[in-house]
Amino acid sequence: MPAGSDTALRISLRPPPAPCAPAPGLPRPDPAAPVSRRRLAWAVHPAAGRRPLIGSTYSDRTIRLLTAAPLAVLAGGVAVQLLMTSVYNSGVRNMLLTLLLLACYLPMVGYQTWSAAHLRRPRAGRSMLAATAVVITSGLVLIGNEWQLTVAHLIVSALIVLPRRWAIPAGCLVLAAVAPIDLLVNPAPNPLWAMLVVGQRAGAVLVPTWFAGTMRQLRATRETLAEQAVLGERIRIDRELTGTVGDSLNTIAERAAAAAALARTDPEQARQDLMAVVDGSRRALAEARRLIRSYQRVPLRTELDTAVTLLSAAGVSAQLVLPDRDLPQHTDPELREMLRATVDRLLREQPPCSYVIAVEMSSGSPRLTVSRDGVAC
Amino acid sequence: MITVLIAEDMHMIRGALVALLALEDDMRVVAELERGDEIVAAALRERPDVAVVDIDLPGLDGLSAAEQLHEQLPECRTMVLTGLSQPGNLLRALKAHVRGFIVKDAPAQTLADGIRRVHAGERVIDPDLVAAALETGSSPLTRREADVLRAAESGLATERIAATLALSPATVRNYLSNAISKVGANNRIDAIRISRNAGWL
Repeated sequence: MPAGSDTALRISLRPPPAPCAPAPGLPRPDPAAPVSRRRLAWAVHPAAGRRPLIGSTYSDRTIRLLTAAPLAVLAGGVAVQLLMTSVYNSGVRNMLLTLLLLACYLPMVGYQTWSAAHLRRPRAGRSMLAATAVVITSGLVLIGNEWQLTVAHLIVSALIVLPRRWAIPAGCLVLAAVAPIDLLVNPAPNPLWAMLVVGQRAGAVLVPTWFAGTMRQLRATRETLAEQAVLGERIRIDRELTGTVGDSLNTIAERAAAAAALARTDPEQARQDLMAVVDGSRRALAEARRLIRSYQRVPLRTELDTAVTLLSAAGVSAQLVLPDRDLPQHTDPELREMLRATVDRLLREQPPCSYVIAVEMSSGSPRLTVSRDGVAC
Repeated sequence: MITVLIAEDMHMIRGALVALLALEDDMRVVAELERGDEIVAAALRERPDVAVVDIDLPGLDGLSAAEQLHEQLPECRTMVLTGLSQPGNLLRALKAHVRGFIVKDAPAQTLADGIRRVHAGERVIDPDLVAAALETGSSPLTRREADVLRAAESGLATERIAATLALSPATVRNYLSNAISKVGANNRIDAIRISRNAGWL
């Protein structure tokens, strides 16, 4: 056997993609870092955040919209904040101060939500969280009552930036802090209402961010599964080709070599060997065709319809009787072989008659019967 | 003695077929043709028992010629030689009253046996071809969609196709769009390729 000849049919296999390959231009995650420190509060799998997302699917637009939604909510928050300043008659100073403070921290929160929606940990997140906390606290001191709702952005920042085990307690803590703040800065305090509104404002930013991140994660998982399925299929095809056609070709090569060696000394034996090579080639060809056909899995219903069409074209009247419920898309090869053999036989039948091809479901799997004048044949 | 007409455009294969049948005592080749549009005239002249035709012939394709032959000389039975790559042709062949359908790479003896059986009134169809035809499925294209795809195959612009088939350009575009969608293609070139490979055109 020629060395390595059995690998001639092997399909080239790409190595599986690195499960956490970073997108171009993005820093590689530090493998030494503890997983929990790199994980977003709601991220199920830390690897998905760095996975490059390829291809365009129908969900792309939804993901883009969901990513833009929290930014739009934050931008809307600016208008609400300014409106509140005018509603409370706080004067130009407070309005300018509001604008200034919002300009200081809101871009940082926007960047954090954008990063979270892309399943990435924001760079310098803790510093930004600290800066946001300082700005918002300053606002409470400088502006007062109408500023307290911006605490929602601090909750957003905390939930995004902090590791999972700290994020939710920290978020709850900040939300709880709204009650004493309201008592301190509000002339007509209503702590429960203030907490409710702050929670709602934080949710308006966090929910679409979470949706966008989850959808990205789902898409990345789907792509991984598809890649694994392709890889598995390639390995299966490689195994089947090597075990069937590959072996046949090896045998052909060996017998042809033997025939060539015997051509001068024993022509009769060489002739017999060559005939065996011809037979072997035909068998290999038939095997290759069978194999290729097995990869083309058309639904059973399509095969049945085509069978009736072929028989009708040949002048054989055939009626198809199907079960009430849907046929399975793919069935065992034996049933298909039986259908093919039946069609082959009926096409050769002389003179052509009328047949009924019935498919019945028996124990969940289809069963084929062919009858002529009510008699199975 | 079975008289045989052979229509095959490739000279070497035609010569091999003639030589192969000449070895059979009960067969005689009465006509060798290389064009499809010569089949009917030659058959009417020579009155062969069996016509062995290739599908892809210049002038007129083998299946169309078989159909004409059946209309004008029904006693002459037609056998088609084909490759497995176009299983959809089996349906067209059956509609054209072709009695035998043999793949070109079948063993030599299969051809002679096939001719004898077709002459005896049997229908001879390679089981592999039946299996391939079932797996390919029947053509999802309507006759008009196939006409439009065939016209598009020659590179005609939509307006020219419309003029050729006496349709409006919008209708041609609709047919093309339907055909592309039905065969699961990306564009019209892809649709032509898929349909051609499946033997639907």
